[in-house]
Amino acid sequence: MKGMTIIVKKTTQLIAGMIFMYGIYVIVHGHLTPGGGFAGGVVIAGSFILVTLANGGDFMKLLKEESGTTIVESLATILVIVIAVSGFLFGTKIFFNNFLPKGIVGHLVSAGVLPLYNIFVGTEVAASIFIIFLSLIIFKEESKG
Amino acid sequence: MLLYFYSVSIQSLDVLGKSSLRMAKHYIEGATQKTGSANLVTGVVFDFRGYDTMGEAVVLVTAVLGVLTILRIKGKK
Repeated sequence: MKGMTIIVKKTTQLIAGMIFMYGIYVIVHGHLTPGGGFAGGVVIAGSFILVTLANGGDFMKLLKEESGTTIVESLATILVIVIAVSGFLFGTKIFFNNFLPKGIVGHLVSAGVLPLYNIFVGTEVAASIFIIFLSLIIFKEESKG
Repeated sequence: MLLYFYSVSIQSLDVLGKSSLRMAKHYIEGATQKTGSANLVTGVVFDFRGYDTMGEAVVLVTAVLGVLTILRIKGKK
């Protein structure tokens, strides 16, 4: 797929980093401010889509990116379930137990397992949205040539 | 027979909408101390109802698998 003109490329080089950092902020502060895992994941996927659309890419590079992103998505889903199951091993035998210490309300490191959940679910959602976008572009390229 | 059960239920059940706030009161009352998070929505979604959130993440993975399968079959002609 063809890239865009040089003005668009330079603008997205300036902006895409800030969008990525804002997405990480929304995910990590999921237990203090509104947002959380799902909304932050979509913001991070938006920054990746912006870079891909502005710079274009030939067919082989897109295929390699897609095969790497499916691995990231599967690993994030497995880690969500591993954290949920490890409530069995520590403390009382409850599925989804909140076993890490709950600190002072309002600090960044508090609320037990919740920040870890937010980070892994956000990574998985970002990878999912990016995979759907890439597979639609690859379908268009394959059926054209 | 349906009319008999209808008349019994009108007299003995609560007013429409009153009994649905019982669970909400139990969730909100001690949520900040029990989960330790300042955001009540995240505390309910990930701590009290964590099973449903795990199911939702799995549904997202299934949707991605479905999209990949359909587009691979249609692409190779």
